[in-house]
Amino acid sequence: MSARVQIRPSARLLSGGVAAAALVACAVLVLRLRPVVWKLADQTFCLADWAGFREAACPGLYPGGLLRWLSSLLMTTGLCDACWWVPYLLLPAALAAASWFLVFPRRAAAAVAPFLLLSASLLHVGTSIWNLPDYAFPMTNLLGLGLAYALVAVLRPRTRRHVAAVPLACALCALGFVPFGLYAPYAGALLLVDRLQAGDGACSPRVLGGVLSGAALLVAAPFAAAAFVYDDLAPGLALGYSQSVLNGALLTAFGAWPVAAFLLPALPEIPRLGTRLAPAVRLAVLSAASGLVLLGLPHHDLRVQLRMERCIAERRFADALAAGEGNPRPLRMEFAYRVLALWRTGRLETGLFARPFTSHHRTTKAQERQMDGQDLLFHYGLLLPARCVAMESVAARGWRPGCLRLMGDAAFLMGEPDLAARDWRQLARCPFRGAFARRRLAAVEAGKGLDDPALADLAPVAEADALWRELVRVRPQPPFFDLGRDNLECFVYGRLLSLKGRPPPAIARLVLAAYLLEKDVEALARSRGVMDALCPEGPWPRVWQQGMLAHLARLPEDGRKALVDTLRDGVFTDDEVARFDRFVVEFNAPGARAEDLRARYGDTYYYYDVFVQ
Amino acid sequence: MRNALQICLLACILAPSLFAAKVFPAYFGIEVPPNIAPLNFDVEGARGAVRAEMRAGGDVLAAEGPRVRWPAKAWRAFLERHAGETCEVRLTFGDGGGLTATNRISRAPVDSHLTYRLIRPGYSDFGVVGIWQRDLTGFAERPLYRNVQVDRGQCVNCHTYNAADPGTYLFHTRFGHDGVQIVSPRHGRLKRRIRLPSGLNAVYPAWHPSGDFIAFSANETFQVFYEAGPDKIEVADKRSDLLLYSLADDAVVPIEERYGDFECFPAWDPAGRRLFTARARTGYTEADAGRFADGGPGFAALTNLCYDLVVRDFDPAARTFSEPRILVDGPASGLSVTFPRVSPDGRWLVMTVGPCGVFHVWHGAADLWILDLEKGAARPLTELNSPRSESYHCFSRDGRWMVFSSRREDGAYTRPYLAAFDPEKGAFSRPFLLPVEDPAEHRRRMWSYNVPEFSAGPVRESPRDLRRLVVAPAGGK
Repeated sequence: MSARVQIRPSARLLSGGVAAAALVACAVLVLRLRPVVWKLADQTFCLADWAGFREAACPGLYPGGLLRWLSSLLMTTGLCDACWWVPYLLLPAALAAASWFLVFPRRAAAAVAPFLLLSASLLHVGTSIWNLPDYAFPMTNLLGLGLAYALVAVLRPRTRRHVAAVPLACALCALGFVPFGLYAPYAGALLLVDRLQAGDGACSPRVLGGVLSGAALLVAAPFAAAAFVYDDLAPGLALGYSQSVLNGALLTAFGAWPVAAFLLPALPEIPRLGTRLAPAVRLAVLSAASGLVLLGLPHHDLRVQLRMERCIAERRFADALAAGEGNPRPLRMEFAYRVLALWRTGRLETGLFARPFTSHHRTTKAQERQMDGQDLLFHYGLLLPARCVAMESVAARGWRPGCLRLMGDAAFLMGEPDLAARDWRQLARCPFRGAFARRRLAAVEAGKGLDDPALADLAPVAEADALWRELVRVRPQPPFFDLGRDNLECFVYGRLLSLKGRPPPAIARLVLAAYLLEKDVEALARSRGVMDALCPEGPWPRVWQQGMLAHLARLPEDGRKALVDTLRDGVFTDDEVARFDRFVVEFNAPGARAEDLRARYGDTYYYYDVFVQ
Repeated sequence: MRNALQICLLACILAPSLFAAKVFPAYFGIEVPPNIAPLNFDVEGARGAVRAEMRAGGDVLAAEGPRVRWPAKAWRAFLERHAGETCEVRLTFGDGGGLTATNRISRAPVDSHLTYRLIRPGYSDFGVVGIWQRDLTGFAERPLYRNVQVDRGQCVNCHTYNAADPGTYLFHTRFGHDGVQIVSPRHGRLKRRIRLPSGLNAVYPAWHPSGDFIAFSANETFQVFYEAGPDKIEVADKRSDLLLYSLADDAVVPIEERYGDFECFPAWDPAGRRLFTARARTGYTEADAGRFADGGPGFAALTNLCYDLVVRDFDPAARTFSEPRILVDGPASGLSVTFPRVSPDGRWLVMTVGPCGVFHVWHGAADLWILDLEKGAARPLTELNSPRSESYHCFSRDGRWMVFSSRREDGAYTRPYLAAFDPEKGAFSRPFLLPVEDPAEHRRRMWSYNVPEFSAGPVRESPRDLRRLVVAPAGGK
């Protein structure tokens, strides 16, 4: 154990002065600037130019504006498909570097470790429970916390109680973050963890660890809950479930850290690793163990996703939703399915435009998805001339760079190049998207079309639009948009197509199979464009042909003719048509029996459609 | 004439540079108030150095481009010295090209502040919304009230001054702490829920010049979205009536409650003796209410209504109104008249006219018209209109300036334009875009300027004061 360190009177005076000044600054900020103003209200929308920085960091108006701009930069970076990993590494590295330079190197690992845990576990957008309005990104608070911790670590006031959190909180406030109070317990917990690791003789490690366990878990638990419930992953992550595992592992480790710190010092040192590496090894073991535990949890995202998809395919929509709600993070489910499930169970509000969205209220992400369906609405808007739908979904979700890009694309495709130019001009100010947006902007300002290389990637979307118009019912009278059941179903496909060029075959086939199972041959008939897209060359699969034939048989003659006229050649094979004709003759013959027909047609869809309950 | 020929000749000689270079905003050929903020502009595509000069009476004010930023003090002094004169604006480029134009500096100052709502051009979800005030003599802009002070789901709207008096104004809040917030020097700060006996809430306001009354239309409004066509959205009323609110005794006096007459957008004349409104004669009765179900055919008919311009005489002592008289017959003329506003001299009335419907900001074909109240003649304000929507407008206190909303830039984001008004001729000068310190701001600001209103000075209340008013319980009857 190290000897007790004498605190210099000048250090005490200085730390006291800093704390007092920070308190005064806090009071001033709270009293004078609390109705804070923010013209660019979206922290996901960093404008990486001087004008954007000046607006964000104006010290007269925005407390902590500099760090707030930084947070928006990190958040915007995290939303970039190519660079999403940057903030995950950058900020912990910054914290580690700050700690390294400001704290005695020998203690650096100990000082940094809890911050790495905490920061990595909270590197997500939208953890809103801990944020004030207009201060969305939690990492800036953590950065402030980290810097304050480093500052206090330099001064090293030796205290035995959580009063150590006070200067931390005050320093945080002096950096401009009013809600310091939420972080004070964390600050105190981290200091004490640090002290515990240092192993100095200020107090008994076991007693301190026990107290710390309780306090940290008490504080960590809502963090964990918030991260799970309110979390929203950055788009573009290919291995989504692995990130949730990492999150869970780190959060669990953070919560378990004080327990481990309490228990593990009692265990013998890991041989041949020395005192410096032992804590790091313990940390690694903890994290790995937590991850393994989470993998086995029944509510793991991947399992939930598969379960939900299976229920959707079997048209058990209520079960699908129930499966998702057992885990409050049903984020891996294909979003289109979720909306479809909500729609089918009557839980998707139809009056979406009859009242304002309240998606900005503090709700769980699952609830927000239920309410606004913004991705689907956006792409519906992309397909329809009613661009308002697209705008609406963006407004509901927030002006993220990805949304702005889609808005510009939508405006261009709908013949509004001026509006597209505005959107892309704004996008050009965002980091990592400037070159792309400038190319688009130059093309549209020069009056170019879809044949221009900068705009050529929109051509498939325009083609998809033409394809999907046969699915999306555009009623001339009345001329209004109605998020009706029929439109929504087609729209689900529309979203899949417009996003990916063609629907993912597995998903499309699942849904088509679901229609057949449910005997919804009308829906199948409306999906003929999908089936064509899936089978562009040859005839449709046998069961699809049979389903369509079953539908045709139900139509009046003129309706049948109209539908046949829209079907492309080659979807039916002569054998299937002939077999169906024989079935119809035998079915209509006097004395026809199901058992007799079953022997010859039992493997057909139209037999199932008629006779199987 | 000679100047015009010179300008044409210069333009022809300099044409190659003109075609290469673009100026935004094009502050040329306009009339400017002597107290307006510097009209900064950007030159894009010019070859070589850019120099801008303003010349009047031997004076020269210069600035270097391509981002032309007039020095503020020198600009102000220049305008003050040469108020009432024309000035030549000359742009010269390094390659020898350039542009020359003539502006006029008015003697009449414009009201010092402009208040507007900053809102995203969305449709149902308005997110962050706020009422802001801008100092027109400089570039300072500050919020008066933002919904994030209370609740991001709250709507803030319909801010209105009484004759540009910054001490007398009101605004609405909805979807959270609903009510009308009124600030009046004689009546104090009030929060009221103002509605007709039928339950319709007061919406579009108009201050009586005395400051004792406020006329409101009470509307049941809905919106729908077009699946096809150039317009994206339609906002219409299922019902709208008129009421008069008296601040002194907190009384609500119904003006018009006939079910079949949809009355909207009241406006007073400067004497407070006449009330102008837009009115649609639908012939509906209460039995027809069921026809207006969303998506039904009756629903569509509401969006095709044509509104008349009508006027009523008002007796302030008795608080009574005469029967309405039609000034512009909407259906007969194939037009729909909304947003009537009378000039302070009482002679002219500017209105927003569209092919049909009531909410013309969403109609690309909407234009501003002017009606001579003495002679009864109306004409479109071709000097102000553009191929895209022009809608809300407001006269300055002395009637020499008008600000109006236009979507001419891109059809979606509304921007305020100012224009000088000649009350003798009933004509406006060429409009110019609200000046900002960095003109690129107009292209990158992703907000619409909604309901621009002049005021003769800054609002004294702070956002904190207004927040206290908003969250206070609604008082009165």
